[in-house]
Amino acid sequence: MSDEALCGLKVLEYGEFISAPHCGKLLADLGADVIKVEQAGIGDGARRFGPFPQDIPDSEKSGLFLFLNTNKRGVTLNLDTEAGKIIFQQLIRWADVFVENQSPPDARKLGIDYKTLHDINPSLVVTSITYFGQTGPYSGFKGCDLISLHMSSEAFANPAYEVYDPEKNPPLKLPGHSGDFLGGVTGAICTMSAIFAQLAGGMGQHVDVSQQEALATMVCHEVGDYYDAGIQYLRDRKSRWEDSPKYACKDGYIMMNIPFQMWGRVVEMMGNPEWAKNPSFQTPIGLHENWSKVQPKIIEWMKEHTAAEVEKEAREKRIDVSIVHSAKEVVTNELFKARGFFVDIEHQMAGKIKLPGAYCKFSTTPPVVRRPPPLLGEHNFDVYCQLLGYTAENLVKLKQTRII
Amino acid sequence: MQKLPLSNIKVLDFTQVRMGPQLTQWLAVMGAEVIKVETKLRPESFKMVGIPGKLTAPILNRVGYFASLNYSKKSVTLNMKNPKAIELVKKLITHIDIVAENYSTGVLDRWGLSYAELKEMKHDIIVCSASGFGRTGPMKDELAYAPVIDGFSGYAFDNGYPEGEPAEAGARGFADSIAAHYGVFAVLAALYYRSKTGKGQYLDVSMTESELAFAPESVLEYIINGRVRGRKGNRDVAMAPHNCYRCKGSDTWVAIAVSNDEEWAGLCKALGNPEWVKDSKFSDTLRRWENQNEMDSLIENWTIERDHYEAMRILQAAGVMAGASLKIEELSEDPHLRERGFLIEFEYPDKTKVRRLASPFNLSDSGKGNYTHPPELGEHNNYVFGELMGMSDEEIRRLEQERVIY
Repeated sequence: MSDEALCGLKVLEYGEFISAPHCGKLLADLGADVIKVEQAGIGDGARRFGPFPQDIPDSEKSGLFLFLNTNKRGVTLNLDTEAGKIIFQQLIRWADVFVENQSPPDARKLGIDYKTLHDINPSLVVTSITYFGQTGPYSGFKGCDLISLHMSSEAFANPAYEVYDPEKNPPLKLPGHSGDFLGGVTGAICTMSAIFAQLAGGMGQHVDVSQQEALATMVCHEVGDYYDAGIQYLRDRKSRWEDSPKYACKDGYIMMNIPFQMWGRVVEMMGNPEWAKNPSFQTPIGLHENWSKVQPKIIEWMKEHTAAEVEKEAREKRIDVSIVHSAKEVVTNELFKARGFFVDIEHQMAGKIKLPGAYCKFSTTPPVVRRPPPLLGEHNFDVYCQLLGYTAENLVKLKQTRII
Repeated sequence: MQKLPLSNIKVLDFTQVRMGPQLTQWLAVMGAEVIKVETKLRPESFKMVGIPGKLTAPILNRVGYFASLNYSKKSVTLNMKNPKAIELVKKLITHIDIVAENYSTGVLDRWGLSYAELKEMKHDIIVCSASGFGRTGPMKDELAYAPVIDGFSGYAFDNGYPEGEPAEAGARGFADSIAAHYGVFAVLAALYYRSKTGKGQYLDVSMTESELAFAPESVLEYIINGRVRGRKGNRDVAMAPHNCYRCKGSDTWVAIAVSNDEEWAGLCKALGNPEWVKDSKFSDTLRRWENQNEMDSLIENWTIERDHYEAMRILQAAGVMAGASLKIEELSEDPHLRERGFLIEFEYPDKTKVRRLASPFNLSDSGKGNYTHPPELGEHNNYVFGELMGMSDEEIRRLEQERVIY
């Protein structure tokens, strides 16, 4: 048994773009045997997303696809054909887990809905990641990352301190495709939990992941305030009882946390100015109540220094601080070098490429890139011939008739 | 009906505030017995409110934020400054499968509870240690605070209005929440490995690394093309329309996205096929992308006349991706979430009720999870020290007086 946490776990993935592929990646990177089924001819939409080297679109060189599909075997299949459906059912019998992210109506159309699959393989765990879940009044709604962020109130609560005018500054989606990524990791968590139930002798079951619910957990405190005290969250900056931790420096921005316990050190950092000695600023309540007098002074001081200077001095005084890094500063940062965070992979078409690595260091079963992200249909022979027993001639016919 | 997936698992929970408790709450909902170690000396509630006066209930552990992140757990009080408390923990370890903690680096080591030492007590123990910057490396002693993590990982740079400044992610504790999710997954993977091999391990979950693994797109752009992307707001890199539009009423909005010609036709139909949609400026995806400023204003002329739920329903009926930008109070009473059993209510022993959101755990046979009221401080001392560890009532009382169980 190798040192791979999920060695031996067989996962079939029919994942489009981000959420289900992210779930598949998390399992694959820990050693699960993940077979990714892509639509014959066109493949996963993430192949068309980029970023592409030199902005030349190439479905084998899309950065997002490469990141999300490490360690998977890739096959092509046309689920709209009878022969394709039969092959798919053979794969379903092989698998312990099936992960997909079609809308419930589309899943039924393709014959990959839970009821159909459960009849074929009753011990199969089926994880469906959708925007609104399998049941409920919104379950037929069309969604995407933007919609899930707004319908979970996460957008309403973002950004926390930058809404100067609610009329002009709308509720804001998070960067990138945060909703879809969260759907993926939530899917991975719930998939693992169903696997334990399966291991304990249970049958397979349907894991129903709703991206709206996954994101709603981000605003659990704000919801709690409403339930406990009827507080209606107001977006504008003036309504926040804490203040923004972000400050503009001469040449950039920093984030700094200034709770009362750190106030003394912040005052020292600013050179013990006279204004800070005001007796009303010396208690937690006093500081909070007088923050509108204190903050402009801090803002002024920050503007007189570079972000690097502030970060250095604050760190020396053990104040919580960071420069607001751009992607460039992140990639070259010493911490990630020391932690070995970025991983180098070698891909047949994309060449040598550096990718973000893992969220966690595992002492015994660290994620490793054992195989690069698959080319479209790269493992058709491995899977259809070696695993399922089709002959090489069959494979050619299947290709000619557009089944694969 | 199957048992909950983690019914046979016990977790010793040394976590506080956000990242750790959210992680262990997941495990509790999945059926694990999570024993939260607290102390009367420093109730967690005080750490969570920031300033006095925000404590809305007189009873400790009834503070709102505590209830959101600590339901389904058990609570014991242990004064870890007292060596006898540490001895109790060492005896308890034989019953434990997972130890979770998010103290500053070194705290558990000082108590003689490092991974190496815990492994001596129970060879297959899984230890999940969560921190801002990792337990190894040049920043292992830095404190963790979500906005600082957002700044460090590059997430804040990407967040915010295009014409504005970088912004920490709302809602509060976002970076904590992301790390909690990845941490839970890591723990479950480690449990799976243990079930096959009998081996435990040490998990070093870092908030910065979790946030980066969660939001790789800007970093990929820099790695592949040496470019730093600007903030995009509600817009997309390719889809248009893709934005958030004013509706009738104060601070009321609807989000709309169109990804192909078919959906565009649906949008036109829903808007009543006004003249402007026939303009060649909007006739295909590329032109819609180029003219989206103008297109957004025109769409807003329609949305501004309607309530956001109404706009959403009309557009969804026409096959368009649309969603009301729910306010917190709207989310808290959302009929869809209610029907799915996501809005839950707990009852304390004194019959006080508290409402909260469930965890997004929904298995067709194992059910929706274990939901019990957030524990009172030390509520399960008798259960853990008496029933589980076999101590007598007198012993427990004595240790309470000695401020060991405290």
